Amino acid sequence: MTTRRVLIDANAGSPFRVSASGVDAAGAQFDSLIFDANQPPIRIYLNSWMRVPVPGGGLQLATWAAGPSYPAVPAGTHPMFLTMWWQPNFASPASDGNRGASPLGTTPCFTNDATFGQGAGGAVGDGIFAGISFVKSTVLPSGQTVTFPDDTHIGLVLLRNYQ
Amino acid sequence: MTLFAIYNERGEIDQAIKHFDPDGYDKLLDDRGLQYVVKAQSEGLPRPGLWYVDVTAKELRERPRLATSVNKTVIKAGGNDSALITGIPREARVQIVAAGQVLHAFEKLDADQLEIAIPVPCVYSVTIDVWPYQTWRTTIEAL
Repeated sequence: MTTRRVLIDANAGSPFRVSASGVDAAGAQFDSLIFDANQPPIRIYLNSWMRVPVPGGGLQLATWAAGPSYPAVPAGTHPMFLTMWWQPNFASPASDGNRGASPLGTTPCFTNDATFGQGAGGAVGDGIFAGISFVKSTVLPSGQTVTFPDDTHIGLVLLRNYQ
Repeated sequence: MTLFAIYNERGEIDQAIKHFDPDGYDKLLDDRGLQYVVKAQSEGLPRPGLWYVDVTAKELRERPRLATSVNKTVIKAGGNDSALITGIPREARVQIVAAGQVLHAFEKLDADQLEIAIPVPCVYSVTIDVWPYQTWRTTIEAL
């Protein structure tokens, strides 16, 4: 049986296919292909960080901000993204692992307790990446509202398909 | 790679983008009415704590450092000893945190010095913010 790992066929629906070792490219399933010219390749479009304001007044609100734009992508495809977030400039002893003098950074998440809601992430839609933050301000026992010295920062990589 | 730094009216960078496919991206930003500076062949993203945009020159600039200092960072607990922070610009934003909790916060400090005494053994972290200076930080430990 012939096993052709690289197939270039001007008449086929998929003109250029490269298969995994031991698999014939002609009849290979998608997960046995290293490359298929019918599948628009996904590549890094940009990487970025952006700010999202922290809600004021100790409120349990999520805030969001419009981040990087992305252009129209090939039909049937959607941009993808990877993200994490951090809260800079919030000082506390370095031994405090959760809120250290170094900026807190973490993958998308959301936690809540009596004092601090924490979490952030993002989404893509309507031509933009939107950063979302659940990090909120706090209220001291005296009743004074304290906001973070800086907004929540969201780091992201945006990927898109190319034809 | 091309850097796009999108900034607000104060010159704070709201977004920094390292673009791998920059052709036409300025049009997308223009359509949204955003202000930005572009730097070609940029390898990294500017750290927001270190960089800002001079809105008049429309150029990326390094944030200057404050001339603030502290006379000691270890004191005796109990209130008879203290640390003195000097060189604080008027109307600076000051925050004092201990054990993950905000103890004191001043949106606009009406002083250029801050004396800190700590009643019990612990560590206070102090941050001072004045735009566009870099955030000044110190920790004061009471033994």
